[in-house]
Parts: sequence; C-alpha cells; structure tokens
Amino acid sequence: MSESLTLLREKHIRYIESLDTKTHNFEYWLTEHLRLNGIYWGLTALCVLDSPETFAKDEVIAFVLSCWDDKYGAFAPFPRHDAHLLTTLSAVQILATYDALDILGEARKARLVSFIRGNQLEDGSFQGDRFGEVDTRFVYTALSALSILGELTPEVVDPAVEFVLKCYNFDGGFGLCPNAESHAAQAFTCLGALAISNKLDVLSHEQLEEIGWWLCERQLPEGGLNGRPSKLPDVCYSWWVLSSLAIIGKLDWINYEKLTEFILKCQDEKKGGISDRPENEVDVFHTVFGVAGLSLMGYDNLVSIDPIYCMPSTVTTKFKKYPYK
Amino acid sequence: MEQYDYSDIKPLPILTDQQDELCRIMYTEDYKQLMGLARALISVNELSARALQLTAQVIDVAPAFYTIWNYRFNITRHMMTESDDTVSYLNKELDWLDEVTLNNPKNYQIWSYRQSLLKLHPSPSFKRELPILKLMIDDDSKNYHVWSYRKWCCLFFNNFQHELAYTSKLIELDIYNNSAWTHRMFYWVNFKDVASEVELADELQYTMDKIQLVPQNISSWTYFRGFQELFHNKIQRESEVVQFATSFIASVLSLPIDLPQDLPEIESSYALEFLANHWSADPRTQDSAVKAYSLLAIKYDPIRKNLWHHKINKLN
Repeated sequence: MSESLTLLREKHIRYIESLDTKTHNFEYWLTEHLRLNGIYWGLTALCVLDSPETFAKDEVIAFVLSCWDDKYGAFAPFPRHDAHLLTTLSAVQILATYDALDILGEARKARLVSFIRGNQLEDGSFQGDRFGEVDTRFVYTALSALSILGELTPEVVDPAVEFVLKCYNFDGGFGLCPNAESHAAQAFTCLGALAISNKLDVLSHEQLEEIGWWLCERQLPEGGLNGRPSKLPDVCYSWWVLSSLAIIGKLDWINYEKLTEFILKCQDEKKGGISDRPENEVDVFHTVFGVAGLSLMGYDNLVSIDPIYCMPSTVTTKFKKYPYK
Repeated sequence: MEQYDYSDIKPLPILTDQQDELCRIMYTEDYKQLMGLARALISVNELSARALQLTAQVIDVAPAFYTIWNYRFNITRHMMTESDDTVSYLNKELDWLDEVTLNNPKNYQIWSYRQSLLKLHPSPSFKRELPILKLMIDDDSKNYHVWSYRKWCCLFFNNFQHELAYTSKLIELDIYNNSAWTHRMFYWVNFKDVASEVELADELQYTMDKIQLVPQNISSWTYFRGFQELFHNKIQRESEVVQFATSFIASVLSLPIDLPQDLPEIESSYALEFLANHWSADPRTQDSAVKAYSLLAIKYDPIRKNLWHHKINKLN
C-alpha cells in the first residue's frame, strides 16, 4: 500500500456534519424519502470515527420522534410521509445508539411491534409497507428492529428463516427473493437475519463453504469488491461482503491490504466523505459503509462495529439475545 | 395531458411545525403546491381521475416517494370498477407505467406496482410485458429488478418458452452477463424433472462452447458447475469434463511449484479451481487437488490465498 494513503478522519467528520446544514439545496429535499436512513448512516459513521457528539443528540431524537406516523404506528422517513419498515429500523437504530429507546414509551413501542409483525406475510417474508413490496431486505429490517426492541418470537422468526432459506441460490449467494440472482447486499440481509435469529445452524457446513467462496469471489484483482460477478467494484460492498463473511467467521478470506487501499482511494481529499469508486462524488451512504468496512478489518483503531446490526458493538452487546431465556 | 381543476382543494402545508435544523427546508413554490395538493387529496382519500393525474405529476418529480404509489394503486383499483371496460382501463395504466419505467430504470416501486396491476387484471398477458422487458434490458442488460420481474412473470404466467432463446441472445451480446447465465439456471431448475437427456447434453455442449470462446469467465464456469450438480443423476460425463477443464491450464500440474515466476500463464484460473474442487471429492485424486489449490494461492489467484490455504488444510 502506498504510504500516503491514510484515513482522513477529521475531514469525514466535517463532511457528515456539513450535511445537516445543507438543507437549502435542491437535492436535499428530493431525498426526503431517505432522510431518517441518512441520519442513521451519518450517526453510525460518526460513531465508528469516535465522534458521535458531532450531531446534536437532542435535535436528532426530536427529529426521529417527529417522523412518527400515528396512523400506522411506525416511523416514516420524514414528517407526514408514510411509515415504512426501512425507516422504522433506522429510527430504532438511532434511538438505541443514543440509549434512548425508553423515550418511545410502552404504548408507542407496542404499536411499533404490531406494525412490524403486521407486515409479515404467510410465507414468512415481510412487505416494506402495506403496499406489498417484498424482499429479503425487509426480512432483515423487521427482525433487526424487533431484536433491538427485544420482541422476537418464534411465530415471527421461524417462518422468516424458512423464507430466507428459499432465497439461497445454486452459486452460494442469496437473492432479493426466491429465484432472484445472487447479490452481495442480499447475502448480508439473509445471513444477518439468520444471525439475529440465532439460526445460522440451519445452513450446512457445505453451504457455509459455498457462501464464503461466493463472497470472497467478489474481490477483484485491484482490491475492491463487487456486488455480482463481472460488475464494477463499489465501496458499499466493503460492508455487505465483509459483514457477511464476519457473520460466518470467514473474514480473512478477503485480502485486507488491497481492500483497504481501494476504500482509501475513494476518499475526497478536499471535502471529506467516501465515494463508490475512486474519483466519483462522495455521499453519506458510501462514507458509512467505507468506514464500517475499515472497522471490521481492524483498521487504525476505529471503533468496533457489529457486523450483524451495523451499529457500534458497545451498543449491540446490550441487546437481548434470541431465543430469550 | 388533460387539465383538471384543483381549485377547491386547500393544499396541506408540507413543512412541519418543528423548526429545528434537521428539517428546515426551502422548497420551490411549484413543488410546495404539488405536494400540498397531493397530501390534501390523500388525507381525504379522494379516488378520482384528477387525483390519478396528480399522482403522475408527483411521480414525475419524486418517483421513489412510495406513499404516492400506494395512493395511485388505491385510485386505480377503485376507478377500474367504475370503468365500463376494466381491461382497457388497466391496459392504459400499464401503458402509462411503461413510460415511467423507461424514465426511471433504477426505481424499485415500479415493479411491485406492475405486479399488483397484473394481479388485478382480468386477462393479463406475458406478451404485453415482453416489449418493456426487452427495452429495459437493452438499456441495462444486468438490471436486477427487470430480471427479477421477468422471473416473476415466468412463474405468474407459467410460461418459460422464450427463456432459453432470450438468454442465448443476451449471452451472445455479452458473454460475461451473469444475470443472463443465472436466468438460464432458473429455467433449468424449473424444468428439472422433465428435461430430456438430449436437452441436457445440448446444454452441456452449449456451455462448453461458451467457455471455449472465453475461458476466464466466472459466470459460465459457475453455471457449468451448477448445471452438473443439478443434474448429477442424469449427466455422467466425468472424464470428458475433466479433460475439457484440463485443456485450459497448460499442464501446470506437472511443473515444479517452487519458482512461481517461472510458471506459464494459463487460460483460465477458474478451470484450475474447477479441477481442484472436482479432485477434492475423491481420496485418490486429493494430491492433485492440493497442488491445484497451491497453484491458485501462489500464482493464479493470489488475492484469495487464504481461501485456497483453507481448502488445502481441509484436505490434509
């Protein structure tokens, strides 16, 4: 690795901080539907960079609560939008990171749990909202949120696990739904869902070998990871692939040195932030998954991140482990 | 585009009462007006032609705003029952959706909306879906959502007759197209029990021809291996397959391993890996497997050397 490549910690912190103050620009309001997710990405990146105080905790919590959709009893990405599973997970993650889940209160928490459970379908899968978009992202999202709230039950977990297994493919990867092409992000959602449920043992030893092979096969000779065979590398797969390998205990099948070099080359040296590929425009999504990937590889004493929850390990150790005693 | 009157609707404010730093946003007047109207109509659940028109405008500026898709679906479901001709009403909706699809190739919501429409449709047709599927794949031959949707269609219509020819055409255009290769596997998985020996032999030959054309291709090798695993009871051509794979590795197995820089280039590291995996299964050939994995680790695929060492340790 070239000597000059180092993680520009301070610049990344300033970059994430600056996103909050850019509320006047056009792109910002077009991304309302991702706002709560964006705050989760920013906060998690700041945690990994050991600078969570960069966000004003009280303001963030107030914003999260303002996204509560009282009609459906869950969180929307932005005030007055519809509740959705993806943003509900982000809200729960943010509150848990701040150790502030109690602020929900029993009544709201009960509604939240029933919203999540209510989106499970007969085959064990979850829809993102009542409109019915189904995929393994939502299985992960639902199980992760319920797990953080300490509310998993066999009625929810068992059919979900069965659905996840149907998304396993002949090549050792997982698809977005049964039959769909293997994709690295889906390896994370499927393995993460199994790990949260403490059900990784439903995979055979041979399957775990195949999965590990498919995942490390994502590394290209230049070092970066792609999401599918013959696609370009992208920093976000540093998270989806590495976390998956970490979950099945095969993290070292990736060449750390080469991947680290690839991630560091995607930094914007002037304004901070990390992009998908070298020379591209940075964003908060790639910034969090870049630093989270580096953390999994033990780079430069970054704060430890939990590969299952994509949250600081100090936070996730407090979660009740399923099955509950 | 038809002009509708919305003057009786009082737009709802789109800003919240909360004025903290995180959500204070400057909107353009047009956007405020449009979103305000949409929120007002949603709040009274108006299911009308003008509401439908408004959702089209909102989708035009914010296609990933899923609330508006939910609302549009409710309107459509209601309006089709009011219409004299449900079929042509839904076909018109699909025509509109085709246009939105072409303008938003990466959007997720479009495809689940499309599935919902076909489930509502009294006489849905795969043929009607083929042109938009083709256009979208022509635009991006690895579009994940389009391929997933195509699979959904095959199962929904129980129609696989186009699939082999279609994937052949795409593989012809881009032999590295993993989506096309895995779609081909999807076809065989669904025809597992009825595939004839002749068909299987043809398919094996097809795959070998494609590997011959471009030997260093992860997708065709993975397919090759997966296909043989799927039909291991019906395909018994072990020695031929091994001989085929061996033709891409320049006899490196018989060369000394201690000087990696002196080893020749080979046509395909995947062929070497295929052989290593094959030889691992039989105690009599495990020495060859160890040598093949060692060659991958030191010369032909060093970035994964920890994986190859793991495989060697398992064999020892």
